[in-house]
Amino acid sequence: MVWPGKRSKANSPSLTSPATVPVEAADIAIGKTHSTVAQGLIRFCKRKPLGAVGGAILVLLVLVAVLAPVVAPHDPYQPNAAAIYAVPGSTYPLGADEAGRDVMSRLCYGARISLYVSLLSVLIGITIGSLLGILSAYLGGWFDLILQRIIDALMAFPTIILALGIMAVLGASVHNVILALICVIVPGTARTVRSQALSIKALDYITAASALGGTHGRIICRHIVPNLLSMCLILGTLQLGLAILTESSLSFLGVGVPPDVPTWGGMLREAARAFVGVAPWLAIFPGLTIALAVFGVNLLGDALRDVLDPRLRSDGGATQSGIET
Amino acid sequence: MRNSIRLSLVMIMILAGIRVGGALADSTPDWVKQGKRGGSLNLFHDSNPELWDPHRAATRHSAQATRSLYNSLVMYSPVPPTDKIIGDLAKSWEVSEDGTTYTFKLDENAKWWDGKPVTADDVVFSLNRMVEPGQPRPRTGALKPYYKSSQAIDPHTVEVQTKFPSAAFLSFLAADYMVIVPKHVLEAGIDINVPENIVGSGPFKQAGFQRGAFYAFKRNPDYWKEGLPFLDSVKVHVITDKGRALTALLTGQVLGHIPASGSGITVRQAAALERDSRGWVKIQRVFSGPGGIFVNFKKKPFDDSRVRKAISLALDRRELNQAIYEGKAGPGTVFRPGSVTSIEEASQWPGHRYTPDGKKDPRDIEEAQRLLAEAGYPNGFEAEYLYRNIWTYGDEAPFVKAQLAKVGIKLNLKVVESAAGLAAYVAGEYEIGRIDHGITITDPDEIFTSIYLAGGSRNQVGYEDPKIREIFERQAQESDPEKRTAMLKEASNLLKDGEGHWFTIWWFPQHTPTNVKVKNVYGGPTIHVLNTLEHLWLDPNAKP
Amino acid sequence: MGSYVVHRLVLFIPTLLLVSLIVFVVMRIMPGDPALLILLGEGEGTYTPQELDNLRHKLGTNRPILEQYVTWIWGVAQGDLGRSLWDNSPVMRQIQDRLPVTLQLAAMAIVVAALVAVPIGMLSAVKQDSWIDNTTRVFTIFGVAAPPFWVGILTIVFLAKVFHWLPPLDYAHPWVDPWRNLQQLIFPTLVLAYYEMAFLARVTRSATLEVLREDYVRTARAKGLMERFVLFRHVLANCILPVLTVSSWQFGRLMGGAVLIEAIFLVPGTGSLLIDSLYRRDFPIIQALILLAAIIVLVSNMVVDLLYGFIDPRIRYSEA
Repeated sequence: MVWPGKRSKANSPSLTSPATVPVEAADIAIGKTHSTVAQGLIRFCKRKPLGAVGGAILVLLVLVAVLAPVVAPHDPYQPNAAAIYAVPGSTYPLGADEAGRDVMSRLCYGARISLYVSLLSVLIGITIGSLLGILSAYLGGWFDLILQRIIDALMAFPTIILALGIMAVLGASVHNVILALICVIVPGTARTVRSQALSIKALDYITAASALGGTHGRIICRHIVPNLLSMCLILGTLQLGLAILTESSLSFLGVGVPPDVPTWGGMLREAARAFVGVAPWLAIFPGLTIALAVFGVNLLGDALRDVLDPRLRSDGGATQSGIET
Repeated sequence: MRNSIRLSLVMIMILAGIRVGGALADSTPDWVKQGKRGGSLNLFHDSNPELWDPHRAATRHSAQATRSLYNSLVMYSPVPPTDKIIGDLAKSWEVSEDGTTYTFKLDENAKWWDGKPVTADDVVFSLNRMVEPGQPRPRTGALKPYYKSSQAIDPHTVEVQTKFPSAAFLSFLAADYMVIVPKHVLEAGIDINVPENIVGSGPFKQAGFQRGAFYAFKRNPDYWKEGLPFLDSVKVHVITDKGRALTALLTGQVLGHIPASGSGITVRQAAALERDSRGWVKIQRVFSGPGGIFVNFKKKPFDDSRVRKAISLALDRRELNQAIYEGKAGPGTVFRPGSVTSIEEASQWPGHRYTPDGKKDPRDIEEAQRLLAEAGYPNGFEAEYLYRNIWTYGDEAPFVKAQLAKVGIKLNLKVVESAAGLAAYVAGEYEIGRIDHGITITDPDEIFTSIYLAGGSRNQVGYEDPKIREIFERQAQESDPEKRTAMLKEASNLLKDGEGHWFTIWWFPQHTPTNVKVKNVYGGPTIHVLNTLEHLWLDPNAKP
Repeated sequence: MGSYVVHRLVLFIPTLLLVSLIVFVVMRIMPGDPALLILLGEGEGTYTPQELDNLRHKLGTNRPILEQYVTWIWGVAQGDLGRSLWDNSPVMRQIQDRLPVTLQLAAMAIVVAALVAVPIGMLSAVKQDSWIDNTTRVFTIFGVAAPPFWVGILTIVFLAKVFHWLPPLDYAHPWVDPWRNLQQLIFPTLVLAYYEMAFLARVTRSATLEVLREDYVRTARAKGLMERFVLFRHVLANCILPVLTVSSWQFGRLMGGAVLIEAIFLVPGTGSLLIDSLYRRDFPIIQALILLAAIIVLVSNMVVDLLYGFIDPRIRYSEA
């Protein structure tokens, strides 16, 4: 997706000059506020209750994932021929699946995989993508040209096909899914960051800094990176939703992590095979969990965006969170 | 009547040179008179037919799509007794004293869609084509060990020579792939793998094919068998998603799968379907073949027979049967259950034994652990279990893993797409694999040639025990059914303990759903025979 | 602007070449030899190494990769997309059969999505922070969160169990049997539209909020013009841009193949063809479809950029 880069506001010389807004945002992002982090958090919750809800959901899911061995009532791997497709009840609160494993336990452990995979791939993907974007914007020339063509090519692939192709070559494993997701995240991030970096680079005060004799490294670190941090944070939340959905799509197609490892998408896959007359409830809970996770991520992302950089609320940011269906 | 006894009787009759084989043209059977003519049938097929050239075809999917367009020399009876071989193009046949020469007399009325008669030349041409070297002949190639040559004695008489006497030969000829194709069409260079080019002699003509969506048949108005086919047209919708197929059956959008051939629906889905349809949909169960786990004996530690035996001992076949088939699969005998080993006998085999309260016999677990320790793995070992993401393989895997874990073998499950899985098996890039084998014919020969001998389709790494080879050759030529069974028992005893690379888990059933409105739906002995639709008719007034 | 278009079109070529190279190479790296698959069928059957060699020779898969690539890409440049490895039918014909279906699905989904999204997005923005706004926001955020394939499955379960109804099995073109066509496509359309609508509504809301804060809108209000007039005239006109651009982008994406939805609802479009061919390693079809998807994405991106530059002269996007 192209990032327009030079939006009217970015260039209009008004009192709310872009020089001040991003720096303010960057300050908040880096934590250099006057109040403590806790006070900042409380203020955030008050201003953006929906965002707080989103954050709470995420925290809850992370807790469930971390504490899975404690929270889960059964062993998610142990098959039980007698309990196949057990109806939700006292022993199996959300029922049992096609191998007699407890659905709720598998959802809890599934959180581990889904969140671990998504968070890690987003972290690494955003980092790599940002680096590439900054380098591309800053160095320009042949490097930029070639990189942009490669990014164009990668982004022309439908997301799910790209991920599918990578998985088909690498094989099913947790780390290969992370790799595939990184490959999906990096191009879009690089392009977005590059556009932003370009527009910042062209700003007057950067040219001034350069004229005043600042080194490349210094310019990048002091001026460009702080402006980008908030964007990265927002991009991160958007990409996180995308990552969770893509991971579950891959598992749904059967090319995600190894089969007995519980993932939400994989559970939906089994449910789709089983549902007719056999166990229709199996289709509800895994999908609901995925939706809940992405829901929380999006709520949080929205709120962060509103707080950190109102400029970015328009289309550009939103379009990054699309996935292939 | 036991299959083995019937088989023996047929063999005796064949070898005594007695004419075997009914003539459809002489006297119209009752079931033809009873059928109602007319109607258009909607069926579903759980996969795309990949190939339209029946000799090139490998799977029941192609057989299901093409069998109704052609005829074979002989076929299995479409109505009970369905394991009796009757004539299709051949109205009668004789076998010589030494059992190596077959003389088929063809029905004079048989003709191709373009009006030309079906002659002995077509038969000779087709038989030679079925074993043509250098061409892909996955199923018809099974004739190669038996077939020697054939000649046209006169336009309606064919003589076929085999390399040695064997009852398996005729059974193979009755399979759906061994159809007769028109010599004049193929010699003109026309590619019959293209649906539009097909010229057959069969009851239905190809009436449209949209890959991934459907294929259709329309009645052959000049079909040479009187009174057949009943249906005016058939439309077969390709529905790969089982859930979708089941709902289509429930809502009556389709009236069944191509009958008696297996549709890939699981036993639970079948039970739910019967229940939810309130009697409208009936499920037919056909024993499909042996399903087994196989190991790559070229890799350590599977080259050690003690390790292989341990695996066979540790497998809890009953639990798998319970989990996947609710106990309805047959026991994991080497040959078809009941034919060589009775079900009671099998339940005493080590690895197949259970305590009176239904638990796996602890002696087997202990023995397995002992064997592993002796082989140098007192704490077990790690292995990769590679299976394809289709069928029931995924559902079983957690159980297999838990079972082998009890003796210390830690399985890493690896599931791959069907394509990748087959490639891995063929290339020998696996440690433990899993496959269900759909047999073409019920003759024990196929078990040998496909599973236990080098070159078999289930024996990608080419494992062969010379003792087994020797027994195979002996029994293939043995005419006395009792002696033959004794030899088969010998083989069975050798193989049941894990001497081979393959451990039979069960003889798995395939389920075919059909609406009660569809009549004359019976199961053949395997899923690769009797896929023709010529005997089906529609009764719109039928009720559950 | 003309030179800009030409410039962009010229850049297509290296991008597409790169795409073709990537997909070609990835296909060859992936395990699974089509010749072997054709012979093996579903794991049944026997073959000899000679048969395998013959088939590979016939399919051309035993030639060096570079040679295969050059042959193929040269053919594509001349308009020949090759033939299916499995049934030898021309790839072009298969795509011609399938493309209109996906086209119709994507178009219908976008139109339905836009028709719902724009009004509720605008309403949500105008009544910002009211209960209407909050409900809509929750609704749309959930819409973007719910995996479309999950919604699709639930829809089918619901239809089958509650209404005992399913879409008809055979696809009919809209000019042949419009009612049947509608029956088949309405539910996948709705499922896709739900996701896209949620997305678009959020975009519309943001854009409307932006515009409402603009100076000239405040000025117009201060002048005492009617609220509705202000709204429709200024806000709508300025929302068109983001809505159009996002819709174009969404359409491009959907044309890339709503693969999972097509599989679940049995829609015979390019998405299900792609998945099918992928499993069977039918390289020519896969390669052609991905090239097609890439072209569509590139073109729709270009259209988006042009719209931006065209509608709002203040924004002239120039790429390095």
